[in-house]
Amino acid sequence: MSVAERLEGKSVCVVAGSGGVGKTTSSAALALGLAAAGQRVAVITIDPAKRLANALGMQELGNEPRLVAPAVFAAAGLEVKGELWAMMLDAKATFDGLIERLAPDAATRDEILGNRIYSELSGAVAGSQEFTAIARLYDLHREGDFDVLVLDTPPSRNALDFLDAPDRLTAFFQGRALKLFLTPTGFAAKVVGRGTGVVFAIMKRVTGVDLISDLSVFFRSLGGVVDGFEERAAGVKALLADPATTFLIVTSPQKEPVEEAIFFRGKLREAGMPFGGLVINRVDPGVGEPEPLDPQAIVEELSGLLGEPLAKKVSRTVADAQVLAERDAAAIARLRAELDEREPILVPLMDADVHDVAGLVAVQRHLFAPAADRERLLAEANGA
Amino acid sequence: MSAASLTTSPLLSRELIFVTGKGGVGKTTVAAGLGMALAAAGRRTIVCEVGAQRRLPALFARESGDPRSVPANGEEVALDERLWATSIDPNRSLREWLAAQLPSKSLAELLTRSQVFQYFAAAAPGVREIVTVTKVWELAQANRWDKKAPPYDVVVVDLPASGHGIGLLRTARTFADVARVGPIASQAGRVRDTVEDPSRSAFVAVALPGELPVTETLELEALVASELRRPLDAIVVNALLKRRWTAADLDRLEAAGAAVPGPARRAARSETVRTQAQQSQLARLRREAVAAVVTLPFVPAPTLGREQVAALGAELAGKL
Repeated sequence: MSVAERLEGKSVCVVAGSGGVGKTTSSAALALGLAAAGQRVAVITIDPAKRLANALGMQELGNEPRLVAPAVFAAAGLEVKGELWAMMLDAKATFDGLIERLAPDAATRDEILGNRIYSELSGAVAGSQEFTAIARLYDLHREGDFDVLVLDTPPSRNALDFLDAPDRLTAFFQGRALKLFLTPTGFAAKVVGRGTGVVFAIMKRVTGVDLISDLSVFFRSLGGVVDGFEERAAGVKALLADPATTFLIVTSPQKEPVEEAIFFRGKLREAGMPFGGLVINRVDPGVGEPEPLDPQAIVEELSGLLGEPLAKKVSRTVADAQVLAERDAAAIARLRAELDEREPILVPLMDADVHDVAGLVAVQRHLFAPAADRERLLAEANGA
Repeated sequence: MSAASLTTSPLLSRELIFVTGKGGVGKTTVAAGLGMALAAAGRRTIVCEVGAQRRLPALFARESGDPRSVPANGEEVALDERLWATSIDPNRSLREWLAAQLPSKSLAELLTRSQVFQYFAAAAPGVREIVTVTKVWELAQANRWDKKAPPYDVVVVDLPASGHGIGLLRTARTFADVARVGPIASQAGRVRDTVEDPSRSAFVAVALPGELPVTETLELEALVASELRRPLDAIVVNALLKRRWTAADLDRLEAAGAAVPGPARRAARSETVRTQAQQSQLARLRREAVAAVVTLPFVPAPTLGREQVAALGAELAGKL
């Protein structure tokens, strides 16, 4: 099955995988392919390479999708029948926007946005980028301006943060923690007032009075937006589990990303979230070779023609490339078995860095090629 | 490498060495390799993983199923002579810190057992982060929180990917500012002073020789300067291909035409193109980065074993 068939009827495609496997480029290429086929697609990326961002006109972007001029791709030989929109996520702006919308009144909004704890720490906390990414996805989905949304997940070593984000947030807001801080007789009141409990006395002693009163104000003002947050987190969770949503896992053939892909697939299964397919990126083109060359025979066969030193150089180069081809073949076999994925989509390692429009179009070609053509493309990449 | 050459390296003589960089560039390999080299040179070394990454065990294992794995519970595990490894557990670190702050153990227990405190620690933003950074710092102090625990000469920290890692360390300054006074403020201030002091801590960024990773490394250097108010000490360009092919070699290969099998020509051509691209990105990094740039070779192997990691670490230590 090609990517196009896998994504048919889907309105949200979440691209997951560990850092450094080419997730952003794959997301953009995926969105490009869908747009080329006639759909109105938005790709939400987290941290695109500068040149890719420039090529797509994303450098002046705020937090809103922007249409990429079709001429950009026409010049690279690809006709885009639909529309490709791209945006770069601004985590802080998304969080601020959320507070602005959910705050019941201007005073609460200003209190939160002006709180030192909020402004200093809302970006530093683990998972805040993951949360804002899906919050933005949820908004765009609800606005309904696009046929498909493609989300490039944050460069987190543990892609799980992403799946857990709505749950964690809901747990936080529903948890007794916040309730405790928010009740009139609770923690905040005790701190701001004259708490006499032993625990509060020790805590004040450890944290210092400034910190604890800032925190109290932070928790108290957050209380005003709890209902909105809870509703949203529930909506996000429903969206991620929706049949029209799918998760695509991207990996490279290296050991750690492969293990993470297997782990992530298991977590998707546990969470009952839909798995749409596997992309193995930067595969050595030699993996498709049915009869690999024998490096030793090369020396014998080519020494007469090229001279022994050069023939040996060819032999060593081929041997090194074969180590990688073998590694990649083993990784592909393992992924096939572990993910129960018969037809992973292989994208070969390209000689040039892929971060411009031409590279994007090339990746798109591999992703969207029908199964029969993919083998030919790989063989071509291997010098056939 | 000898112990003498290490003591002459100002970078490797510092108490904390932070290894940072984008995901997938070989940070953990570099951190583990450096740890092995430092231990081999006679320093009590601990390699420290943060954020439950669970990558160290595989690199240190002599063979699969090695019992000396690194549990994620904050335990310090001895791996070799003078070499330890640990994975920071924020909850455990918080308990340890409190016990060291409060005058009596029972007071600390009262606090950590109380529900109010547990909720507070779970809900307050940045608590896990500041506790993690503080624990990393503590490992290198002469006076440990646990009075019986011997200090390490050097702590090598495998940080999370670029932005996350710097954000984590930045919380020390943030808490020192936000708390203003009290034990947290002074503790965070001491951690901040160490993290920002180039004579006590070192920052090593790991990069790959590609356009995107080089650009991101230059951005990382600027980020370290603005967020942590200190320079990056060194940039390690990892997995650099050998320059095996000359233009004349390739010409002769092309001239031989179909006598040379297609995949062999492809391998030679591809290696040459990639090597050239790598060299030009390496040159750009050397031109634009302030920090010293050193390189490590590409190792053509399916996965790196302990011996290979140690060899890379020794090579790197000799270059820093």
